[in-house]
Amino acid sequence: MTSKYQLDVSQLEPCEPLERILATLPQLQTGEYLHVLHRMEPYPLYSILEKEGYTWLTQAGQEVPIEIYIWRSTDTLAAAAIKDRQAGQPL
Amino acid sequence: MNIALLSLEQTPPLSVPLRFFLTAPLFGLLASLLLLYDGPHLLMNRWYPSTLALTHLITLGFITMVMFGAMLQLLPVLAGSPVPRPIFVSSTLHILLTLGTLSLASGFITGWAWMMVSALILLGLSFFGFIGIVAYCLVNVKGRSPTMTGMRFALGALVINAMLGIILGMLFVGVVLPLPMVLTNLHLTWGLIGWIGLLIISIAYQVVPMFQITPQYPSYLTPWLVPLVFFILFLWTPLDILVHLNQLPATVSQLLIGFIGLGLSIFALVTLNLQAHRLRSIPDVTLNYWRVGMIGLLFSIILWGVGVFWSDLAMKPFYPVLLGVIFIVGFVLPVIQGMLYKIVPFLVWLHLQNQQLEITKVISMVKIPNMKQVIPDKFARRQFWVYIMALGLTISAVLWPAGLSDVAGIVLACSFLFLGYNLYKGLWLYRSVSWQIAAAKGKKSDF
Repeated sequence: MTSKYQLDVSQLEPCEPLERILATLPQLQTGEYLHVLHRMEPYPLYSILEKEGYTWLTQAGQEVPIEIYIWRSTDTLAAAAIKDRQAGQPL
Repeated sequence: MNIALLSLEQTPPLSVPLRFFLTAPLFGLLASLLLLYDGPHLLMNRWYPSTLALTHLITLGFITMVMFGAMLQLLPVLAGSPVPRPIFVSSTLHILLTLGTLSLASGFITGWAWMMVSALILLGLSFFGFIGIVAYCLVNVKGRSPTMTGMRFALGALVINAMLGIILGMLFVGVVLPLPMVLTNLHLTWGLIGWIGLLIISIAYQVVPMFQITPQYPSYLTPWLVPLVFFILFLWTPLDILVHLNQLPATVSQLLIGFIGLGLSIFALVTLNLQAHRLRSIPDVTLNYWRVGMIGLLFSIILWGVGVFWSDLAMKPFYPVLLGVIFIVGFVLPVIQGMLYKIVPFLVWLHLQNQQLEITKVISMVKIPNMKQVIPDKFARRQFWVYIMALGLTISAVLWPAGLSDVAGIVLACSFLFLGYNLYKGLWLYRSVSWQIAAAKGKKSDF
């Protein structure tokens, strides 16, 4: 069973999106991932995620220009959930 | 997985851009003091030595100073192309530009040839060093975003402008040049529209949507506007020389400049329209700066157009000074100040965030101030109103130099002082939090 947090930062000024994402990440439990709605690619976030041990997937969004999925690199359950999502299966 | 072009590792040390950003207000202050000292004469005639000195204190000491810092910061971040040995490169360029600008202004005022020679050497090294470094970085860039393309054209304009500037500088060391007036007009057009104008447009594509939460600039505009303005300038240059040699009618040159004015007007109107459709309408003083800047740009284009059709006005000695004041003080300065109030807090925040991550996996160990705490909005807003007063007084002083140049000089000096204070305040906060992080690091290592 996986669940997700969704965070819409598409209308926030820098550096609020990054701050909110970093504040939410510690709440992720095993199997959970963070789904971020953004209006542009948050490039500075990626190296922070790498340092903090998270993996991410960025893709074009439907309602907003960019969607990012973030999960702990060691969390195979969350990774599988993202993989299923990519395959078009419900999460 | 998307591979990021921009990362914290590629962000140059904070001192790289900040040394330029923090020096710029000091040159603005110096220019204001010159206006206070030599005001009435200085605003009456564009060829007066102090007028040339003041113009270069602003265009080199303030505007180009910030542009150098911004490009050295943005290239690695936007293009993923790091500047080699960033601290050595930035400190060398900074010293050369600072000393070169001071020598040039002193050379204009004193008329000493050796001062002008040293200015030409220092500024030549500074410009061509900068151009070489940035060109090296741009060659390594794989992306073709409108911002990167625009930067390439702005750099091309800087090459032409710097060469024209050096050639003109030789006039002051006894070299006889053909058509010095025409060369001066080419120099200021390539400088103000080519280098400064095109770079502002290129950077606006990135910073306006990012910091002011507006929609993106339309894709039908961004790929062609900067290249087109550059090519029209390129075409205009030889034709303008032929016009002054009476080989072509003046309308040819005016028509081409008119097209450039049209292009710049479209940029100003699109920017104002984007800002009117912000996704989140919260008060933002930098928006006021940009709006003033875009209106200033439109006014300067209208004033140029009026001068074309009303030749009596264009012949008045104050007309070119007024045109220059509205373009520089009414368009370029507010846009740059608006950018500084976003870029400096963002960089301070980014570097503190990075420092904190280096020492701990716990994300919120030391409270990092957010952007609005680095330079509080109320301070920036107060400085904005001082700047608006300075703008109004400077424009009025061109029309009534004897009565208003002193007041304009004082208020302009206050505006630059206030700007400097706000930027230095951001630096002090950075240092204070940076020390807290270092102290936390010390404590952590005890465990």
